[in-house]
Amino acid sequence: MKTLLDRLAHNLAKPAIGLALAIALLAAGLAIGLYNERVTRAEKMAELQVQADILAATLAGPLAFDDESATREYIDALRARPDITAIGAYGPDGKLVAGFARGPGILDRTSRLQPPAVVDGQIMVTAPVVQTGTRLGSVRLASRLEQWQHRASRYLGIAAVIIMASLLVATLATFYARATTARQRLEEEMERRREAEDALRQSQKMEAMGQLTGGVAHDFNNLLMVASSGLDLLDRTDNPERRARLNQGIRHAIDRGAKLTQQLLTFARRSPLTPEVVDLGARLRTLQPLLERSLRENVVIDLQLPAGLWPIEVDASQLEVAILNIAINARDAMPNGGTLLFTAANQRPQDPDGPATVRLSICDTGEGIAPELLEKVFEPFFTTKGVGSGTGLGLSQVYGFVRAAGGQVVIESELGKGTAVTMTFPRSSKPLPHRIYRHQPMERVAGDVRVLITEDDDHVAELVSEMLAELGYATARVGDAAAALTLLTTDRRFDVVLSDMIMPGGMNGLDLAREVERLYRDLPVVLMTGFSEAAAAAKAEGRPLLTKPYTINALAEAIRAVHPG
Amino acid sequence: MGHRGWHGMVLLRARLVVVSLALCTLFQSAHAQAIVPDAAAVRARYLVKFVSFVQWPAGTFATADSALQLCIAGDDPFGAAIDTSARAERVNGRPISVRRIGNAPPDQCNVLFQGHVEPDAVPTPAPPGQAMLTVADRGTSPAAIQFVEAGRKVRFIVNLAAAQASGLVISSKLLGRAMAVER
Repeated sequence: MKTLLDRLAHNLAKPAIGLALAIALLAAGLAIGLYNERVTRAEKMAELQVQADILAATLAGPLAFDDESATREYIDALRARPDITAIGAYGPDGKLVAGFARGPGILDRTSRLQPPAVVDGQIMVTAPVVQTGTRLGSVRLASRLEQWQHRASRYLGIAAVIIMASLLVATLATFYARATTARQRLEEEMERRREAEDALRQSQKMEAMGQLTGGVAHDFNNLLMVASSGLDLLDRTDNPERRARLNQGIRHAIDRGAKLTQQLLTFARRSPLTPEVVDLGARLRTLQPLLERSLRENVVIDLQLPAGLWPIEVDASQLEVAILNIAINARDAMPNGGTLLFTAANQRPQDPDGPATVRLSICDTGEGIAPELLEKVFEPFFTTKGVGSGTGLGLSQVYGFVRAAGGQVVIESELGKGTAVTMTFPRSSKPLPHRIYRHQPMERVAGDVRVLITEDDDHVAELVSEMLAELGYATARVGDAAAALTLLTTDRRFDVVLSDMIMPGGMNGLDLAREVERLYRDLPVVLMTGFSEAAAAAKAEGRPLLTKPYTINALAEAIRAVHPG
Repeated sequence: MGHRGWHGMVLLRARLVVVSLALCTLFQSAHAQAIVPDAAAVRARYLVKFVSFVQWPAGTFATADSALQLCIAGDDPFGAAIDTSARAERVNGRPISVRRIGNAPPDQCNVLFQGHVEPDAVPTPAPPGQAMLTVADRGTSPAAIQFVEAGRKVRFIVNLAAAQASGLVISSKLLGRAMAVER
């Protein structure tokens, strides 16, 4: 109801409609005035007619018996009324017996009966003088219409009210229309601002990314070095013990690399602010390898996180960016190395109505910030770093993120001793999302289970085929979704479809999964991808997913989850 | 400017007063100069007019349009004037019939004008209970309405007791025009 009224008001609040309403109001006022005028005139005529009838009845005797003085007396009595301009009393022969006129041409010398009429601005009424059916004469009365002063005083007040109301309506409509336009403009402005903020957040993230890249690339080279040299050494030795150790080293290097790329992809993902319930301790521990990569070897990361930290509700990716930003600032403040200490604690509310919070402090043992600069560090584009080293967006991102999460951030510093950034977040009353970790030993499947592999990359397809064969599955491989669907129409003896997500052709893996689900309800599809956005899309639909690169154990687990055998 | 405007208003009003005064004078002088009609003709006219101001008891007239009998007893002072006046009038739709009855009894008469009679002639009285308006010149004969001469005008005196004795009701409008009302 309210919205309907709002919409109506919104549609009506246009200057043209306001003006039309005002004109309508004026027209209505005018119409009422005219109607009133007519009614008043009719009433006046009726009243004058009654007066004439009374006079006629009174004059019966005087006219019958030629009593002119009495006739004149009765007529003169009515002279006191200023609106009556003429009275005439006529004998039975129609000749004027007595009368008066307040102006020339008003009073006829002879009488003729006529209905009440307005002639030259005068109301004229006549009445016969009759006594028991005998016509004794007639009377005629003339009265001016209401005096203009009276009429003006009657209408002036109403006219003023109507004109004021019309003006008010027109003014209000104009103002409302202006306010509506302003509100629309404000909304557009806010939308633009939101977009700009999104862009800023992304660029802040990319800035942090940039800071990371150097360290990560270095780390990757190390990992590749381990893998490459390990393979070389594998070729040159037959010692099973040594081979096993080399194998383990290569495996470890690849695992670290996979973990690192996964974090980078998650980190770089362009996503809107989506607060989720987060375990701060777990997040920091997950982030630790990435932090170690992005800082130098001479910076020691010390996590002192108690168990049982309360959950908080924040955008997880923004939290990571904020921590990275603080860590990078700390790194730059410690050119000769030092310690980056993370401490966290639950804080009970200080007053009964206050919120319970979780505090996270990040302290470095760096150069510190001068007191006069401390106030400015949260301002965007404020930086103490040299040209090309920083954009000054890091701490402003921290500030924006903490405020958006409903928390507070405080920075304290002492020159030569170090800097501490303390963030407090409100405790979340929601539970942490549930996580299931399954550890199943790898074992070969019994019986004949067939897996259809849909993968455009020949190398990947070959490796996956081998892994599946190792696990005891029979496989067939096609290059794209269309080929998979074609094969399924002729050969239905597949138990699982394992499909890449990004493939050539019009159909991606997700489309294939939908189509297979539609056509073959009991044929499960497991998707695999290395793209974080594709992974998010698959997760959103709740589809089984393997994130590349994955281990043979993960593959076995994923296939067994959809086809227990 | 304001001064001249005000002066103009005063002039206009003064002119209006002069005009209306002139008009009034015109009417009054017109009547003052009217020729006084013959007293007998006036009395004849009045006699007929009286009828309009008098109410007869119910059942006086046979039918709704039966004529009203205006009788003239004794000498007739009106001559043709009374016939002319009577012909011109209708009272509540009834014509007025003029009868000269001399000294005969005023049977069926609704109005009786008692004209001059010789001293030895005795007018026949009206039958008792007959609703009859009696009219006479003052000093000639007792009557409900008596004409009198007042200066150059014809006036009349109403004797209410006589009228009521005949069962007649006389309109206050007629009483208002009477020179005197006797009870």
